Amino acid sequence: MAVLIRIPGALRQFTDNARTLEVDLPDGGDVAQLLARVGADNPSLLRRICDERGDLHQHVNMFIGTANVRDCEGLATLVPDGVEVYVLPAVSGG
Amino acid sequence: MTKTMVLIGTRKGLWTATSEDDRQTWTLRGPDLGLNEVAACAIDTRGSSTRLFAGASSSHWGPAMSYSDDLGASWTEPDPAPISFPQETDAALARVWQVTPGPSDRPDLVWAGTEPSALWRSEDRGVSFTLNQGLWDHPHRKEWQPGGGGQALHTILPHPDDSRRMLVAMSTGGVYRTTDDGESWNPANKGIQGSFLPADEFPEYGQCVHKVARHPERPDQLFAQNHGGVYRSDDEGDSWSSIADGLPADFGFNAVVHPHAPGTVYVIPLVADMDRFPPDARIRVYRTRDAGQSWEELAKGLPDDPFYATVMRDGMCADDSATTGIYFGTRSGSVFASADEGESWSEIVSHLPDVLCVRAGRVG
Repeated sequence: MAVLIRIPGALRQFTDNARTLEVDLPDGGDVAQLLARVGADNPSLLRRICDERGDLHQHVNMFIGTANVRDCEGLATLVPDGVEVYVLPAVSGG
Repeated sequence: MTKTMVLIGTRKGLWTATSEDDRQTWTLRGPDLGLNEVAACAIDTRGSSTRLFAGASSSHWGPAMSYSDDLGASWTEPDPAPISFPQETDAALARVWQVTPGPSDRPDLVWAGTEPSALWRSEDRGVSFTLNQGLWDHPHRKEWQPGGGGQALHTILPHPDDSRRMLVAMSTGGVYRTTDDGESWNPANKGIQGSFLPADEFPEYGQCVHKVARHPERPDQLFAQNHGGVYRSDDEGDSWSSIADGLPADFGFNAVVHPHAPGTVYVIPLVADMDRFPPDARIRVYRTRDAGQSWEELAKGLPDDPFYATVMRDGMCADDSATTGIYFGTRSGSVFASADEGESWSEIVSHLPDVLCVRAGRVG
Protein backbone atom coordinates (compact mmCIF):
# COMPACT_ATOMS: atom_id res chain seq x y z
CA MET A 1 0.00 0.00 0.00
CA ALA A 2 1.06 3.60 -0.52
CA VAL A 3 1.29 5.71 2.62
CA LEU A 4 1.20 9.48 2.44
CA ILE A 5 3.44 11.24 4.98
CA ARG A 6 2.96 14.96 5.57
CA ILE A 7 6.25 16.77 6.20
CA PRO A 8 6.48 19.88 8.39
CA GLY A 9 7.99 23.01 6.95
CA ALA A 10 11.16 22.77 8.98
CA LEU A 11 12.02 19.42 7.38
CA ARG A 12 11.22 20.20 3.78
CA GLN A 13 14.83 21.15 3.14
CA PHE A 14 15.36 17.38 3.18
CA THR A 15 12.54 16.62 0.74
CA ASP A 16 13.32 19.15 -1.98
CA ASN A 17 10.54 21.26 -0.48
CA ALA A 18 7.98 18.53 -1.01
CA ARG A 19 5.10 18.75 1.48
CA THR A 20 4.37 15.06 1.29
CA LEU A 21 6.18 11.81 0.74
CA GLU A 22 4.57 8.69 -0.61
CA VAL A 23 6.10 5.51 0.77
CA ASP A 24 5.32 1.92 -0.14
CA LEU A 25 4.60 -0.23 2.88
CA PRO A 26 3.46 -3.85 3.05
CA ASP A 27 -0.09 -4.37 4.30
CA GLY A 28 0.02 -4.69 8.07
CA GLY A 29 3.20 -2.62 8.30
CA ASP A 30 3.94 -0.52 11.36
CA VAL A 31 5.56 2.87 12.05
CA ALA A 32 9.02 1.37 12.50
CA GLN A 33 8.82 -0.23 9.07
CA LEU A 34 7.54 3.00 7.61
CA LEU A 35 10.47 4.95 9.06
CA ALA A 36 12.90 2.35 7.81
CA ARG A 37 11.54 2.87 4.30
CA VAL A 38 11.91 6.63 4.72
CA GLY A 39 15.48 6.26 5.93
CA ALA A 40 16.49 3.97 3.11
CA ASP A 41 15.85 6.74 0.62
CA ASN A 42 16.45 9.74 2.83
CA PRO A 43 18.75 9.20 5.82
CA SER A 44 19.06 12.95 6.44
CA LEU A 45 15.32 13.21 6.97
CA LEU A 46 15.15 10.12 9.12
CA ARG A 47 17.71 11.31 11.61
CA ARG A 48 15.70 14.48 12.21
CA ILE A 49 12.76 12.31 13.17
CA CYS A 50 14.44 9.65 15.27
CA ASP A 51 17.80 8.76 16.76
CA GLU A 52 20.11 5.93 15.75
CA ARG A 53 18.21 3.53 18.00
CA GLY A 54 15.07 4.30 16.07
CA ASP A 55 13.40 6.19 18.91
CA LEU A 56 11.49 9.33 18.03
CA HIS A 57 13.21 12.49 19.17
CA GLN A 58 11.61 13.80 22.33
CA HIS A 59 9.87 16.72 20.69
CA VAL A 60 8.87 15.02 17.45
CA ASN A 61 5.43 13.49 17.19
CA MET A 62 4.00 11.13 14.62
CA PHE A 63 0.31 10.85 14.10
CA ILE A 64 -1.44 8.03 12.27
CA GLY A 65 -4.50 9.92 11.21
CA THR A 66 -5.48 11.61 14.46
CA ALA A 67 -3.73 9.16 16.77
CA ASN A 68 -0.39 10.07 18.33
CA VAL A 69 1.77 6.95 18.17
CA ARG A 70 3.03 7.71 21.69
CA ASP A 71 -0.53 7.08 22.88
CA CYS A 72 -0.78 3.87 20.87
CA GLU A 73 1.86 1.20 20.45
CA GLY A 74 4.74 3.54 19.74
CA LEU A 75 6.76 2.49 16.72
CA ALA A 76 4.84 -0.79 16.68
CA THR A 77 1.63 1.07 15.87
CA LEU A 78 0.11 -0.35 12.72
CA VAL A 79 -0.40 1.90 9.72
CA PRO A 80 -3.80 1.16 8.21
CA ASP A 81 -4.38 1.45 4.50
CA GLY A 82 -5.63 4.86 3.43
CA VAL A 83 -4.58 6.78 6.55
CA GLU A 84 -2.28 9.77 6.29
CA VAL A 85 0.75 10.03 8.53
CA TYR A 86 1.86 13.35 10.03
CA VAL A 87 5.28 14.32 11.37
CA LEU A 88 4.67 17.17 13.78
CA PRO A 89 7.19 19.04 15.91
CA ALA A 90 5.96 19.74 19.41
CA VAL A 91 5.06 23.32 20.20
CA SER A 92 7.87 23.68 22.69
CA GLY A 93 11.03 25.57 23.42
CA GLY A 94 11.81 29.10 24.46
CA MET B 1 45.22 38.88 4.85
CA THR B 2 45.35 37.03 8.14
CA LYS B 3 42.32 37.60 10.32
CA THR B 4 41.49 36.60 13.84
CA MET B 5 38.26 34.69 14.17
CA VAL B 6 36.28 33.85 17.27
CA LEU B 7 33.64 31.16 17.01
CA ILE B 8 30.88 31.73 19.54
CA GLY B 9 28.59 28.79 20.19
CA THR B 10 25.40 29.71 22.00
CA ARG B 11 22.18 28.16 23.17
CA LYS B 12 20.60 29.34 19.92
CA GLY B 13 23.10 29.21 17.13
CA LEU B 14 26.67 30.05 16.22
CA TRP B 15 28.15 33.49 15.65
CA THR B 16 31.55 34.48 14.32
CA ALA B 17 33.47 37.58 15.33
CA THR B 18 36.26 38.56 12.99
CA SER B 19 39.00 41.14 13.33
CA GLU B 20 41.22 42.35 10.52
CA ASP B 21 43.13 44.91 12.57
CA ASP B 22 44.94 42.74 15.11
CA ARG B 23 41.90 42.43 17.39
CA GLN B 24 41.18 46.11 17.80
CA THR B 25 37.74 46.02 16.17
CA TRP B 26 35.42 43.14 15.47
CA THR B 27 32.73 42.30 12.96
CA LEU B 28 29.99 40.01 14.14
CA ARG B 29 28.14 37.65 11.82
CA GLY B 30 25.39 35.17 12.59
CA PRO B 31 23.49 33.33 13.68
CA ASP B 32 24.39 30.21 11.78
CA LEU B 33 22.91 26.80 12.45
CA GLY B 34 19.51 28.22 13.28
CA LEU B 35 18.17 27.61 16.73
CA ASN B 36 20.64 24.85 17.40
CA GLU B 37 22.47 24.70 20.69
CA VAL B 38 26.17 24.75 19.84
CA ALA B 39 28.04 23.16 22.72
CA ALA B 40 31.28 22.48 20.83
CA CYS B 41 33.18 24.26 18.10
CA ALA B 42 36.68 24.22 16.69
CA ILE B 43 38.90 26.07 14.24
CA ASP B 44 41.15 23.67 12.39
CA THR B 45 43.92 25.50 10.55
CA ARG B 46 45.92 22.43 9.62
CA GLY B 47 46.33 21.39 6.04
CA SER B 48 45.70 23.53 3.01
CA SER B 49 42.48 25.19 4.15
CA THR B 50 40.75 26.15 7.36
CA ARG B 51 37.87 23.98 8.47
CA LEU B 52 35.41 25.02 11.16
CA PHE B 53 33.52 22.45 13.21
CA ALA B 54 30.31 22.79 15.18
CA GLY B 55 28.63 20.26 17.38
CA ALA B 56 25.04 21.44 17.25
CA SER B 57 21.85 20.12 18.70
CA SER B 58 18.26 20.97 17.95
CA SER B 59 15.76 20.46 20.73
CA HIS B 60 13.39 19.17 18.06
CA TRP B 61 15.53 17.49 15.44
CA GLY B 62 18.36 16.06 17.47
CA PRO B 63 22.14 16.44 17.48
CA ALA B 64 24.41 16.95 14.51
CA MET B 65 28.03 17.52 13.63
CA SER B 66 28.72 20.06 10.90
CA TYR B 67 31.74 21.62 9.24
CA SER B 68 32.42 24.67 7.13
CA ASP B 69 35.23 25.14 4.61
CA ASP B 70 34.36 28.77 3.84
CA LEU B 71 34.75 30.33 7.30
CA GLY B 72 31.13 29.83 8.20
CA ALA B 73 29.46 31.10 5.05
CA SER B 74 27.94 27.66 4.61
CA TRP B 75 27.81 24.50 6.70
CA THR B 76 27.77 20.87 5.72
CA GLU B 77 26.41 17.99 7.72
CA PRO B 78 27.74 14.85 6.08
CA ASP B 79 25.61 11.85 5.25
CA PRO B 80 25.60 9.46 6.95
CA ALA B 81 25.75 11.21 10.31
CA PRO B 82 29.42 11.69 11.29
CA ILE B 83 28.81 10.48 14.84
CA SER B 84 26.36 7.64 15.30
CA PHE B 85 26.46 5.04 18.03
CA PRO B 86 26.71 1.47 16.72
CA GLN B 87 23.54 -0.54 17.14
CA GLU B 88 25.11 -2.94 19.65
CA THR B 89 25.73 -0.09 22.11
CA ASP B 90 21.99 0.63 22.42
CA ALA B 91 22.99 4.26 22.83
CA ALA B 92 22.10 7.41 20.95
CA LEU B 93 24.06 10.62 20.53
CA ALA B 94 22.68 13.35 22.76
CA ARG B 95 25.27 16.09 22.28
CA VAL B 96 28.75 16.72 20.91
CA TRP B 97 30.73 18.24 23.76
CA GLN B 98 34.16 18.57 22.25
CA VAL B 99 35.93 18.69 18.90
CA THR B 100 39.72 18.47 19.00
CA PRO B 101 41.85 18.62 15.85
CA GLY B 102 44.77 16.21 15.90
CA PRO B 103 48.46 17.02 15.43
CA SER B 104 49.63 19.22 12.60
CA ASP B 105 51.39 16.39 10.81
CA ARG B 106 48.15 14.43 10.61
CA PRO B 107 45.66 16.97 9.27
CA ASP B 108 42.90 14.43 8.72
CA LEU B 109 42.85 13.25 12.35
CA VAL B 110 40.09 14.78 14.48
CA TRP B 111 38.74 13.75 17.87
CA ALA B 112 35.31 14.28 19.35
CA GLY B 113 33.81 13.81 22.80
CA THR B 114 30.13 13.26 23.36
CA GLU B 115 27.22 12.68 25.63
CA PRO B 116 26.84 9.87 26.55
CA SER B 117 30.50 9.80 27.51
CA ALA B 118 32.40 8.50 24.53
CA LEU B 119 35.51 9.29 22.55
CA TRP B 120 35.40 9.34 18.75
CA ARG B 121 38.18 9.35 16.16
CA SER B 122 37.99 10.62 12.61
CA GLU B 123 40.59 9.84 9.97
CA ASP B 124 38.90 11.94 7.28
CA ARG B 125 38.88 15.34 8.95
CA GLY B 126 35.55 15.01 10.66
CA VAL B 127 33.42 13.52 7.92
CA SER B 128 33.03 10.22 9.77
CA PHE B 129 33.99 9.10 13.26
CA THR B 130 34.62 5.74 14.89
CA LEU B 131 33.75 5.00 18.50
CA ASN B 132 36.68 4.26 20.81
CA GLN B 133 35.62 0.85 22.01
CA GLY B 134 38.14 0.61 24.83
CA LEU B 135 36.67 3.52 26.71
CA TRP B 136 33.11 2.62 25.81
CA ASP B 137 33.57 -0.88 27.27
CA HIS B 138 35.26 0.39 30.41
CA PRO B 139 33.90 -1.40 33.50
CA HIS B 140 33.58 1.93 35.31
CA ARG B 141 31.06 3.20 32.78
CA LYS B 142 28.02 2.09 34.73
CA GLU B 143 29.17 4.23 37.66
CA TRP B 144 29.81 7.43 35.72
CA GLN B 145 26.92 9.76 36.37
CA PRO B 146 25.67 12.82 34.53
CA GLY B 147 26.49 16.20 35.99
CA GLY B 148 24.13 19.11 35.72
CA GLY B 149 24.87 19.51 32.02
CA GLY B 150 24.64 15.84 31.17
CA GLN B 151 27.08 12.94 31.01
CA ALA B 152 29.84 14.60 29.05
CA LEU B 153 33.24 13.68 27.76
CA HIS B 154 34.38 17.26 27.43
CA THR B 155 38.17 17.23 27.41
CA ILE B 156 40.47 15.49 24.93
CA LEU B 157 44.21 15.94 25.25
CA PRO B 158 46.28 13.91 22.81
CA HIS B 159 49.90 13.65 23.87
CA PRO B 160 51.91 15.99 21.66
CA ASP B 161 54.85 13.60 21.25
CA ASP B 162 53.40 10.11 21.61
CA SER B 163 50.39 9.22 19.50
CA ARG B 164 49.62 6.23 21.72
CA ARG B 165 49.02 8.40 24.77
CA MET B 166 45.94 10.48 25.45
CA LEU B 167 44.02 11.93 28.37
CA VAL B 168 40.28 12.54 28.50
CA ALA B 169 38.07 13.99 31.21
CA MET B 170 34.38 13.70 31.85
CA SER B 171 31.73 14.93 34.20
CA THR B 172 31.30 12.87 36.14
CA GLY B 173 33.87 10.16 35.87
CA GLY B 174 37.06 12.14 36.12
CA VAL B 175 40.33 11.88 34.24
CA TYR B 176 41.25 8.75 32.27
CA ARG B 177 44.41 7.98 30.34
CA THR B 178 45.48 5.57 27.67
CA THR B 179 49.04 4.65 26.79
CA ASP B 180 48.19 2.07 24.12
CA ASP B 181 46.36 4.12 21.52
CA GLY B 182 42.99 3.82 23.20
CA GLU B 183 42.92 0.06 23.68
CA SER B 184 42.76 0.41 27.46
CA TRP B 185 42.07 3.29 29.83
CA ASN B 186 42.91 3.88 33.47
CA PRO B 187 41.63 6.51 35.87
CA ALA B 188 44.13 9.23 36.75
CA ASN B 189 42.53 11.13 39.62
CA LYS B 190 44.80 10.53 42.60
CA GLY B 191 44.66 13.63 44.75
CA ILE B 192 41.53 15.13 43.19
CA GLN B 193 38.79 15.54 45.72
CA GLY B 194 35.18 14.63 45.11
CA SER B 195 33.77 16.90 47.76
CA PHE B 196 30.21 16.25 46.64
CA LEU B 197 30.55 12.53 47.35
CA PRO B 198 29.03 11.17 50.54
CA ALA B 199 31.98 9.18 51.87
CA ASP B 200 35.20 8.58 49.98
CA GLU B 201 36.34 12.07 49.10
CA PHE B 202 39.38 10.92 47.15
CA PRO B 203 38.00 8.05 45.08
CA GLU B 204 39.84 6.32 42.29
CA TYR B 205 37.31 7.76 39.85
CA GLY B 206 33.97 9.51 39.83
CA GLN B 207 35.22 13.06 40.22
CA CYS B 208 33.51 15.87 38.38
CA VAL B 209 36.48 17.31 36.55
CA HIS B 210 35.31 20.37 34.66
CA LYS B 211 38.30 21.01 32.42
CA VAL B 212 41.92 19.93 31.99
CA ALA B 213 44.60 21.78 30.05
CA ARG B 214 48.24 21.32 29.20
CA HIS B 215 50.95 22.97 27.19
CA PRO B 216 52.41 20.89 24.35
CA GLU B 217 55.97 21.77 25.33
CA ARG B 218 55.42 20.44 28.83
CA PRO B 219 53.18 17.42 28.28
CA ASP B 220 53.60 15.92 31.74
CA GLN B 221 52.22 19.02 33.41
CA LEU B 222 48.44 19.21 33.61
CA PHE B 223 46.05 21.74 35.09
CA ALA B 224 42.54 20.80 36.18
CA GLN B 225 39.58 22.89 37.21
CA ASN B 226 37.47 20.52 39.24
CA HIS B 227 33.96 20.75 40.65
CA GLY B 228 35.62 22.29 43.68
CA GLY B 229 39.37 22.41 43.51
CA VAL B 230 42.06 23.60 41.13
CA TYR B 231 44.89 21.12 40.64
CA ARG B 232 48.20 20.54 38.93
CA SER B 233 49.84 17.30 37.98
CA ASP B 234 53.53 17.11 37.12
CA ASP B 235 53.47 13.46 36.15
CA GLU B 236 50.80 13.34 33.45
CA GLY B 237 48.04 12.59 35.91
CA ASP B 238 49.70 10.02 38.17
CA SER B 239 49.03 12.42 41.03
CA TRP B 240 47.48 15.83 41.53
CA SER B 241 48.10 18.63 44.03
CA SER B 242 45.97 21.63 44.87
CA ILE B 243 47.05 24.96 43.43
CA ALA B 244 43.98 26.80 44.68
CA ASP B 245 45.83 28.92 47.25
CA GLY B 246 45.72 32.49 46.08
CA LEU B 247 42.39 32.16 44.31
CA PRO B 248 39.26 33.70 45.81
CA ALA B 249 37.39 30.43 45.27
CA ASP B 250 38.24 27.00 43.97
CA PHE B 251 35.03 26.34 42.03
CA GLY B 252 34.74 27.10 38.35
CA PHE B 253 34.61 25.54 34.94
CA ASN B 254 37.57 26.82 32.93
CA ALA B 255 41.24 26.09 32.59
CA VAL B 256 43.12 27.56 29.65
CA VAL B 257 46.86 27.30 29.21
CA HIS B 258 48.79 30.06 27.48
CA PRO B 259 49.81 28.70 24.08
CA HIS B 260 53.32 30.19 24.23
CA ALA B 261 54.09 30.01 27.94
CA PRO B 262 54.05 26.69 29.78
CA GLY B 263 52.97 27.27 33.34
CA THR B 264 50.75 30.22 32.51
CA VAL B 265 47.12 29.32 33.06
CA TYR B 266 43.83 31.21 33.22
CA VAL B 267 40.77 30.36 35.31
CA ILE B 268 37.53 32.13 36.22
CA PRO B 269 36.57 31.42 39.84
CA LEU B 270 33.00 31.05 41.05
CA VAL B 271 32.09 31.07 44.72
CA ALA B 272 31.01 27.44 45.13
CA ASP B 273 28.93 24.70 43.60
CA MET B 274 25.90 25.87 45.53
CA ASP B 275 26.71 29.52 44.88
CA ARG B 276 27.63 29.75 41.24
CA PHE B 277 28.36 33.42 40.97
CA PRO B 278 31.64 35.32 40.62
CA PRO B 279 33.09 36.23 44.04
CA ASP B 280 31.75 39.58 45.22
CA ALA B 281 29.62 39.60 42.05
CA ARG B 282 32.63 40.76 40.01
CA ILE B 283 33.58 38.78 36.92
CA ARG B 284 37.34 38.34 37.04
CA VAL B 285 39.97 36.24 35.33
CA TYR B 286 42.84 34.85 37.37
CA ARG B 287 46.21 34.06 35.88
CA THR B 288 49.18 32.15 37.17
CA ARG B 289 52.57 32.47 35.52
CA ASP B 290 54.30 29.98 37.78
CA ALA B 291 52.15 26.88 37.35
CA GLY B 292 49.85 27.72 40.21
CA GLN B 293 52.25 28.85 42.92
CA SER B 294 50.69 32.30 42.77
CA TRP B 295 47.71 33.94 41.10
CA GLU B 296 46.95 37.46 39.97
CA GLU B 297 43.57 39.02 39.36
CA LEU B 298 42.99 40.40 35.86
CA ALA B 299 40.32 43.06 36.00
CA LYS B 300 41.23 45.98 33.75
CA GLY B 301 38.32 46.61 31.44
CA LEU B 302 36.01 44.04 33.01
CA PRO B 303 32.73 45.28 34.51
CA ASP B 304 32.78 46.58 38.05
CA ASP B 305 29.02 46.43 38.21
CA PRO B 306 27.45 43.42 39.90
CA PHE B 307 27.85 40.52 37.50
CA TYR B 308 26.05 37.25 38.08
CA ALA B 309 26.57 35.37 34.84
CA THR B 310 28.92 32.41 34.68
CA VAL B 311 31.26 31.04 32.04
CA MET B 312 30.75 27.49 30.82
CA ARG B 313 33.56 24.96 30.65
CA ASP B 314 34.39 25.67 27.01
CA GLY B 315 33.52 29.33 27.28
CA MET B 316 37.14 30.48 27.56
CA CYS B 317 39.97 30.05 25.08
CA ALA B 318 43.20 31.53 23.75
CA ASP B 319 44.18 32.44 20.22
CA ASP B 320 47.49 31.63 18.54
CA SER B 321 48.74 35.14 17.89
CA ALA B 322 52.28 36.12 18.83
CA THR B 323 50.81 38.21 21.63
CA THR B 324 48.17 35.84 22.81
CA GLY B 325 44.54 36.83 22.94
CA ILE B 326 42.28 35.44 25.64
CA TYR B 327 38.51 35.27 25.27
CA PHE B 328 35.55 34.29 27.38
CA GLY B 329 31.83 34.23 26.73
CA THR B 330 29.18 34.42 29.42
CA ARG B 331 25.75 32.97 29.95
CA SER B 332 24.48 36.53 29.70
CA GLY B 333 25.50 36.61 26.04
CA SER B 334 28.65 38.69 26.19
CA VAL B 335 32.10 37.92 24.87
CA PHE B 336 35.09 39.62 26.47
CA ALA B 337 38.46 39.69 24.74
CA SER B 338 41.99 40.58 25.68
CA ALA B 339 44.59 41.18 22.98
CA ASP B 340 47.40 41.42 25.52
CA GLU B 341 47.38 38.10 27.33
CA GLY B 342 44.74 39.18 29.82
CA GLU B 343 46.22 42.49 30.94
CA SER B 344 43.21 44.42 29.65
CA TRP B 345 39.78 43.45 28.41
CA SER B 346 36.95 44.76 26.31
CA GLU B 347 33.48 43.50 25.61
CA ILE B 348 33.45 42.69 21.91
CA VAL B 349 29.98 41.15 21.70
CA SER B 350 26.84 41.74 23.75
CA HIS B 351 23.29 40.45 24.00
CA LEU B 352 23.70 37.06 22.37
CA PRO B 353 21.95 34.00 23.73
CA ASP B 354 23.90 32.35 26.53
CA VAL B 355 27.37 31.45 25.32
CA LEU B 356 28.36 27.80 25.62
CA CYS B 357 31.73 27.72 23.89
CA VAL B 358 34.29 29.97 22.22
CA ARG B 359 37.29 29.16 20.06
CA ALA B 360 39.70 31.63 18.50
CA GLY B 361 42.44 31.50 15.93
CA ARG B 362 44.09 33.19 13.01
CA VAL B 363 42.62 32.27 9.67
CA GLY B 364 43.77 33.06 6.15
